[in-house]
Amino acid sequence: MFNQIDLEYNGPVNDPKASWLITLCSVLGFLIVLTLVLLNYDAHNAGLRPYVEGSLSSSGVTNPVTAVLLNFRAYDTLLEIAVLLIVVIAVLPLRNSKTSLVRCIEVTNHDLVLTSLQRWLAPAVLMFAGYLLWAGATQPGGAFQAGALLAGACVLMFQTGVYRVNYTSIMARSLMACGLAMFIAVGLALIWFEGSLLKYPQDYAGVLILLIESGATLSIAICLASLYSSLIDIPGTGHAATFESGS
Amino acid sequence: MTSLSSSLLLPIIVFLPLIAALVGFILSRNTFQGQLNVGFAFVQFLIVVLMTILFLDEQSYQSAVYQIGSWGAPLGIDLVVDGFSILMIGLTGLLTLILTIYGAAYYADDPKSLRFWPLWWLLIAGLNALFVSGDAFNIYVCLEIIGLSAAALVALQSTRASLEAALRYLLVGLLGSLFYLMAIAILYRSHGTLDLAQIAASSGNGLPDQVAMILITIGLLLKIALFPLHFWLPQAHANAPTPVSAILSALVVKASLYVLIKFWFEVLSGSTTFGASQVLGVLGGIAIVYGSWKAFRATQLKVLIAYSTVAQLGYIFLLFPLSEHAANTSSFSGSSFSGSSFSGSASQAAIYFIVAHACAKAAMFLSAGNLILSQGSGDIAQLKGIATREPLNVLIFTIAGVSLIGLPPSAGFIAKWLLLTTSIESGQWWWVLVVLSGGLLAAMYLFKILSLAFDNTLDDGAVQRQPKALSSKLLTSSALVLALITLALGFNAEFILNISNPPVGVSGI
Repeated sequence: MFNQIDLEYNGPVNDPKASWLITLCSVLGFLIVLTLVLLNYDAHNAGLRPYVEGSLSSSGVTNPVTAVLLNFRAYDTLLEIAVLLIVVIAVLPLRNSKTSLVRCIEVTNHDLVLTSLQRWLAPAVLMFAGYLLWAGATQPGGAFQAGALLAGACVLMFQTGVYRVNYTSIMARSLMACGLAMFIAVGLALIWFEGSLLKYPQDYAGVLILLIESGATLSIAICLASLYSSLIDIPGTGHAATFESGS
Repeated sequence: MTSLSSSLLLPIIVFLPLIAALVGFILSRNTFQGQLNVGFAFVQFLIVVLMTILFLDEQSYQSAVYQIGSWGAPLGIDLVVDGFSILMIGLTGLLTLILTIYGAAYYADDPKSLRFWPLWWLLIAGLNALFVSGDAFNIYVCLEIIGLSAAALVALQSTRASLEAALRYLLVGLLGSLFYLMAIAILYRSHGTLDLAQIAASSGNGLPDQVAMILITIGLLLKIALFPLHFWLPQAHANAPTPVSAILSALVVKASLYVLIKFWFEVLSGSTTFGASQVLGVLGGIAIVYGSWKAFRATQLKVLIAYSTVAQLGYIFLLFPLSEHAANTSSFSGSSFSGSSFSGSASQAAIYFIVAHACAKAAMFLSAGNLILSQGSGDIAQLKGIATREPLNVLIFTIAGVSLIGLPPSAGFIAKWLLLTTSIESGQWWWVLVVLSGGLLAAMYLFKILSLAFDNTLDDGAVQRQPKALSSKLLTSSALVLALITLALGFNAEFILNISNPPVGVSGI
């Protein structure tokens, strides 16, 4: 929906001096407030770090960031994945198309450099995304990073215009929803088995977190790829055709 | 786990709308889509009713807590429900049911329904999650969900005006969220926790708390659209699809208001001052007069109703000066989290105002949507003589208008009565003048519509356009139910006040 915007502004051009003055005043004011806060800041609090370190052994992972994101504050992450879904629904076209997820189009002029880059780089990126997902349990990494990398691989594949993704097909919609669906399914199942929402049993916590992250990785990747496709419209490469209507 | 309690239902009312959103998103358009969504709304309503009954029955007006993942407050996230939030949840459940029925009829044969239903349910999930949240950062995430899905729903209309309004709404909402996030960062630095109850327990009148309170107030005022920051609201609310307009005015602005009230009276009540509350009250007073005047000058029906929302929100902000005074006189200790600070007669008036305005404004938007559908145009001038063709919708509009003006017997009358008595009791008589003049101005802009609607003189043929199809029975009857609820609330004031305000707490003061 938002990609249809073409706003024209015919009013008077802003006075650059006034804009500068306003920006300067607001920035200065903000800095003064910040300084005041920091001066008055009593540093006796270490935040939640000791709590996190104390409970890390029972969280199923050893990386504190992953433990906070997917165990201690998993509910926030679940809602954030819902936020991503909202953004994607907002930019999807209004009609659902019945064509399949990916179609190949015959392109007459092959770009040799681009094609070989795709052949060499895309599988490596795919592998590395899988590694990042796996490494999230012990080191910096995890679903968001892996998903972003996968989306990058998709963007690389889009460059030749050979592959066209239909983001409104049932397959694409299932992939977009699978991150949130997996999270909700695990969370609700744990109410049944453990008696509390998102309360992982200690032995299976690592596996369940990896399961949730795998679903989230797929959703994040296709959501980011669809955002790219909806914003980029290169003439000749047929990206606009990804939004052909189903009627 | 053996006995059922209201806190066990807390995660359900967040997850049920999320599941409904996923089902609506994955299932393609089909014939039973409308029934499916109404079914979800009905189940949610039943759960909310059950939860309210359990809460009133078991809790003796204490707040109920659900620990997600059994981690407990500082490390994990707690879901908390108290009297105010159970009232908001109940209101959300009721309005969701009626507006979903309306939406099912409104979007019966429209390809936009594919995008409408997932966004709609995600918005409801965000509202429910916000009202049960007990964590400062979790509230930020909920505000994000609400703001993004609301902006996307406004853009669903796909007209140029609605896209511009949606974009502005989105940017204003994001700016407000960033102010709030900044405040949360400051609070986390000085308190070392994100849990609202723990922040409240350790909050005083320090500088970080004051700066955080200022940032939260500015950010949320942007989202609530109090007078100088209201610039985005009329266009966004007027250009949205009708069920979206209704929920935006009835619940979405109230969600930010809920957060502001929670911080102002419970979490950071130590750092609020009499002067600041007077400023909010003055802004509210200006909003009443200015919003009513702009509503009177509006030429589009939905713009008129949207400006009326700006005015009505002003009344709720009179709560701040009035209850600040009450807190001063009754030697109340400001930093307890029991919610007793938010149980004076001023807060009773504000809560009642929130409920009354939500029902009346939703009914008014629905009936206005029906009139526009029937007339084929949103121009006020085109409404001439419409009472003969759409008598029921004009009746609904009138009932909602009576409540907004504050005439008996309606919910709006009780709300204004509570507000007037509170201002006289607290000695701040100047607010009485504002409330009374606001009522007169509301009567001016609403009677303008009604006199046009009942005007049957055929002066020239151009005004009387070709009659369109009459609005469907389902659309009209769901609006009628809301109007009747508005009337019924005028007779059952005690019920609402008892849910939100524990009699224990009142006698404790």
